[in-house]
Amino acid sequence: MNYFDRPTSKELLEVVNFYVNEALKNPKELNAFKIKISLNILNIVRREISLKENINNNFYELGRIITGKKEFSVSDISNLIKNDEVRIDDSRLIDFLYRLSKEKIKVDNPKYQN
Amino acid sequence: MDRIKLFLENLLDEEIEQLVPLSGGASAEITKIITKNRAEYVLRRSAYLGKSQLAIPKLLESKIQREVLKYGVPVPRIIVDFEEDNEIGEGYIMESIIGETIPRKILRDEKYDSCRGKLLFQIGASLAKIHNTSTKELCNLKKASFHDSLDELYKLYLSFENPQPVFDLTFKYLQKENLIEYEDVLVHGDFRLGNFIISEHGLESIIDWELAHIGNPIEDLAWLCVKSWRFGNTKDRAGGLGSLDSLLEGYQSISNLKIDKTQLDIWQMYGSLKWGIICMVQTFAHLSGEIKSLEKAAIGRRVSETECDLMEMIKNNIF
Repeated sequence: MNYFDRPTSKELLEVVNFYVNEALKNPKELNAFKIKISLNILNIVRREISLKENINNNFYELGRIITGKKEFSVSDISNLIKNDEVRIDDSRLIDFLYRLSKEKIKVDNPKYQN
Repeated sequence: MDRIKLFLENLLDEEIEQLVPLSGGASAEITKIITKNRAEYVLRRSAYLGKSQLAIPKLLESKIQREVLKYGVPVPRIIVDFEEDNEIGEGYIMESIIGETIPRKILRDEKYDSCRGKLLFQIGASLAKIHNTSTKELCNLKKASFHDSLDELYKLYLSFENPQPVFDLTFKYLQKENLIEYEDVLVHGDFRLGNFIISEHGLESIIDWELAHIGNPIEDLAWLCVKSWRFGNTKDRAGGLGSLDSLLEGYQSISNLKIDKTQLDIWQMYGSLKWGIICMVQTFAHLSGEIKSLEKAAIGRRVSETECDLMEMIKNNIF
């Protein structure tokens, strides 16, 4: 089960790999701003690896209850909403998405305050 | 670059000393032009790579800047514009305005301490002047009601085939909303810090008109309030600069429009959703192979910021 957005962690590593290879071909391309972005990307992947299992465990049961499926995906939840098969004020749904958004931001940008 | 330089020299009838690439917008390549006589201009032309699906043509941007200037909106004067059928694409040259656009510097540097207190009033008053601009000469601009914009955004979102339950939920919430139909106005479309040139004296200029359209005036006011545009000053709802009331005070010093704050909440929710989908547009341009970019890849993971904001609005009514 993957709760995170695209680019996936693999796609993120690929783009850093691409950038570093390009920069090595032409060291003038190596600029501080892009290095900072690369580090941010690597930190997202690092946090995702360390928090992923915990997030999966925490949301598995609630996701099963909402979708009624033993194995569910994020797209199942999307489809329930799209097809009006769940009330948009359903407290379990709201709770699930609220808590999940808080967990995702811990991976993608823990400094983000709202 | 020599080809561009020659083209610009002919256009300006001046010799060019240097062309300095500036960071581009979603659909523009922006270059500072420094002439042999030390005059400075800014060139904005259509980008060949990563062309935005949402942006208006560059010639329409320059036309808008000419129009709003007549109404006292601070914008760079257009020196000359040029059409697509030449070798460097469509674009225009405008005067170069001295000042800062980087939001975090404007919000935090000591240099701007003295002007920060009056900025929101100036920004609000300038926005009202934009909204007062006659749209008669701007008939090529797209007209978009709230529900039209929402439908278009939904189609765009679905085109990525990448389900985001928070976005689906927000669409459902917004589809049910009844909006007050204000009289249509010219909407800047990206009215926020980053698109304002600020000096220690205050607001100098409003730039980046590529998302302009005809629509509801509340859209611009609410876009400035979207949390992503507060740049860390989350408690200061209006652009991270201060309160909504300070912004509205400036706006209503020029405009007679009665503003219902619940409408602002709805448009702010729409704004956060829109920014989240723009992040998807950017990142899928990279993922589709259209353009390989570290920045565009990274922005995909900013979708979760907008999800957090949307869930705070939906669950806790925090705007």
